[in-house]
Amino acid sequence: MNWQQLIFGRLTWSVFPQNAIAWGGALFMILCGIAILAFITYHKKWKWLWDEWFTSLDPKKIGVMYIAVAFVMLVRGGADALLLRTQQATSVGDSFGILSATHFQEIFSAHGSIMIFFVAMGLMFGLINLVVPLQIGSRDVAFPFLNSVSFWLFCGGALLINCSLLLGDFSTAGWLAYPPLSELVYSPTTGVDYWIWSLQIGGLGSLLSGVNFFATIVKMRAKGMTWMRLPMFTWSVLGAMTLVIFAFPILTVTLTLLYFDRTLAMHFFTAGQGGNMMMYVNLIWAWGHPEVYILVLPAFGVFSEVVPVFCGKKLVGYTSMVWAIWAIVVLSFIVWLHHFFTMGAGADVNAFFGIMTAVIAVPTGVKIFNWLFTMYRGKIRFTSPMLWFMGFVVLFTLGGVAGVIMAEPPADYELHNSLFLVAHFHTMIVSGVLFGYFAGYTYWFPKIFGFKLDEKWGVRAFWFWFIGFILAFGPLYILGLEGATRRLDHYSASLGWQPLFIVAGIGAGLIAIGFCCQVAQLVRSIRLRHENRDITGDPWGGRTLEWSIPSPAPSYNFAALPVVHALDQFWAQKQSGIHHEARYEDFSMPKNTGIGVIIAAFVFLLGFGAVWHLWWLVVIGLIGAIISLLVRTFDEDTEYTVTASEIVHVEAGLRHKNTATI
Amino acid sequence: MKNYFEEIGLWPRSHGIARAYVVGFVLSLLLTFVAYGLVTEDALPQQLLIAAIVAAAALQFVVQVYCFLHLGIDRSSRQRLFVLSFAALIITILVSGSLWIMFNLNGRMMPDTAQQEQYMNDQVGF
Amino acid sequence: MTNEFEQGGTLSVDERAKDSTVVFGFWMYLMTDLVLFASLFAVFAVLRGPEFGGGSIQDIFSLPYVLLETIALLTSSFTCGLALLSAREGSVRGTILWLSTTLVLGAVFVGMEVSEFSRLIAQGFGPSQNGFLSSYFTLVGTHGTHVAIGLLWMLALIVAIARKGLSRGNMRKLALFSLFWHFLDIVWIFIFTIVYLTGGSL
Repeated sequence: MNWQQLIFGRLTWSVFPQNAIAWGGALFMILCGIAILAFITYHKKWKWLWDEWFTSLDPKKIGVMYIAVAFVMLVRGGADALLLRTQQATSVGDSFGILSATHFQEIFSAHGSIMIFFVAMGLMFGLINLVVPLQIGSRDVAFPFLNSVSFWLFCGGALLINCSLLLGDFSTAGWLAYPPLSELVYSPTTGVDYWIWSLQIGGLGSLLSGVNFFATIVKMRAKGMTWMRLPMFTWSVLGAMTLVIFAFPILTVTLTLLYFDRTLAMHFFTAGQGGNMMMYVNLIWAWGHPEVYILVLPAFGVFSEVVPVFCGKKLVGYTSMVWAIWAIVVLSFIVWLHHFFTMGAGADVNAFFGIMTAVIAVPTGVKIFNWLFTMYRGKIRFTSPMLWFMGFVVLFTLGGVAGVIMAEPPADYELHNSLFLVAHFHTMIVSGVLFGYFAGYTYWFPKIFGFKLDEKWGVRAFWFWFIGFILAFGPLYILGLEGATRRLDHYSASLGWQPLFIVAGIGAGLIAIGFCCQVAQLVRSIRLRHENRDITGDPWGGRTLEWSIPSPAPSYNFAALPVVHALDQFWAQKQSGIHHEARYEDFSMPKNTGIGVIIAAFVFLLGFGAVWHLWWLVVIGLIGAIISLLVRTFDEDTEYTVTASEIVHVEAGLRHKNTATI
Repeated sequence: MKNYFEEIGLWPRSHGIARAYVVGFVLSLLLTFVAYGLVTEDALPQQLLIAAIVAAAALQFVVQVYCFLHLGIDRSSRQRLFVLSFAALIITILVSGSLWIMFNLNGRMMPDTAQQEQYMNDQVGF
Repeated sequence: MTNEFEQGGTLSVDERAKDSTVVFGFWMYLMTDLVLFASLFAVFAVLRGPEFGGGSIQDIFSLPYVLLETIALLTSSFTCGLALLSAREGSVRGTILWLSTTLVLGAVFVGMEVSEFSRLIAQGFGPSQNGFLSSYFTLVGTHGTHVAIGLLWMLALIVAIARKGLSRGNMRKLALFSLFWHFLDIVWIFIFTIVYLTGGSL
């Protein structure tokens, strides 16, 4: 190794983008970045951002930042989707579309990785941070500093995957990077390493959050909040965090072993020397299947909150809903082989996992029925959160049935890796995960910001997403049944598929308009925030504890910690009209700290160095992160006290602000 | 900080902890030597040997969980024991499931040249 | 969270709730570590098939050597318990003495393992030889790395206790460390059994 390689690793002048579209993407990202930095500098908001947001350990602030980053990554993932759809609509017969085959592969790999790891996980952890402490009647999470570290690691992973737009290329091996394609022999460039390290860093953040929120829900519930008085969203989060704790370490191991193969010439998954690439597929899906349930369970939880409120009726079957969550949690660990029925296991193995897969549809069915029963004879208000739910019920049920079809191995031999599969999982994730988190975003927005989101634009956004989705993925079910495979960048004209691909492209365009409606909604809502102010703290007629405090929620959440006597405590309180006298006590809150940012920055450097083989940077990153952590652990002064009298004063001020009071 | 470990739930009681450590240490040493001895002395046929040393390992696991980690069904450690049991369940599913799947897949792979020759040589009257 | 120390004791209700939450949270992290090791075990079990140029297990490992390592680590787990007992009695000297003993025994373990790795690599049985050796080095090496981190942790603990005595913060750090250290010996039971004792069979 010469000195040049030692210092610069794999960095050379040829790492910059190689074609117009790639340059377009990189430049757009850089310009947006510069515009944002300039905007902040011009308004002299750096100190404010650092003091009030970046160093904050308030989970509400961290939640807002998660959702902001997730929406930005949605733009990136959505742009990828538009490029893919354009390619597939135009690359027929003699035309080869707008993207080279390699570029197309990079784009679908980035699209999937970004959407799962940075959009869906980001929205999920965002809502969890915003809502869970409030719902359990707590002032904070169990480990506030760890929470900050988790968020900034998430950002580090997002930053790393975006670096691949400018420097080097991205993986062409799909969102799961199967070997041998992802091994060094067939992917010698930095692409797969970018994929490995952005997922590794983001995954570490997720794992730490799993531990954090599991401990929070177990240990920090308000007095009297027994297990069967837990709100449904919190139950779903507990289930999802259980999955995170037991599934993410498998991802950590698998990514590390692939990196060892690529960098240290080991033979875990190589084609020779005793490697077994099928083991990779086995391990990655042992993580991957729980992952999709991690994403969807909290979305189900959102619906369990939204439906009772907007139907004016108690949720039907609370106990069965709770058991359904845990059935899903356990079952999701014994179905993973259904992702590789066609890898060649025997009929006995395939049959077992096929049956288990069919079984796991049952608890979800229980949930759907319970929501529908809740709607029955309720006083339904068709607000946008309710619309997101109804779009979900229709689409998710149909897409779920498609899943049960593929759960039968013989059928799956036809449909595996076809567009039928692609349509199925997009139906699950868009109508389940995304619609659920959009509903949650709308539902809890007033609690965090003190004003509602504009309802008209919300409804428009829903219809564009809903119709757009049907047009974008309906054709794909048909194409899949006609034999179209996934990741197809060109096909012959005689197949007659182009019209369907064009319809799909139009659908994608409608979804993009739907996203623009959401942006318009946010802008308009901020402009009209005084008109739409939430004065009572309970804008929807809620049932759970978060609606019992003023909006926007104060940093300490509850002036006096609530005591719980029933399920839907707040609703019970409103019905009975009994107001227990608040007992104010001194309490401590965590001080702001920038060490979470610093640790994540060092870990980002470690990741960047690992990708480009800048070993000196890896060492700096590692040592820096460890030292920063040690500095924090030896810091004795991490909290400040709020006295009872201060709280009384603050609360009086808040009540004065909200004049039309209780 | 006299009863610190009891108060935070690390120790379920004050008395008997020292004894637990000593008993745990002695039992673990014993189980280690038994397993080691069985292997080096080739005392049992193959299958039985594997079963014996796996059993010894499982036993030592239980000993150390009870004597060193003080996990039991008493209030302070019940939650941690529950979580550990759940982890054990998931791990059993993952590891045994993976082994079942991988050996099934491997067994259905095309045999290598050595195995092919062996197979051909095994054919009677060929 | 009731035990006989619910009423009275040296900690306030808040302090007790906080510290027991930290113990629980650390325990959950240990569960993730358990799944991590389980995944590595699964990989090892799958890749230990016909070797490519590597020998069979008995050829390359010395069981008596491994037995010595095992006894060192097991004893260190015991002396860690003795450290906690000393801390409970309020003896700073006793705690530091037993922690240092644990540290030395742990260092012996790591030293022996590093030496074994070096020998294997020098003889051509390095991790890049074949799948079996890759998974052996990674599984045992991951455990060894955890132990090495434990050594650094012990050093920091000894320094902290020497400077600030057996404060609440240091007692908490000691409690967490003991969970970590005992956990590592528990994982070693399985490495000892499945990697070394089962030999080339299974």
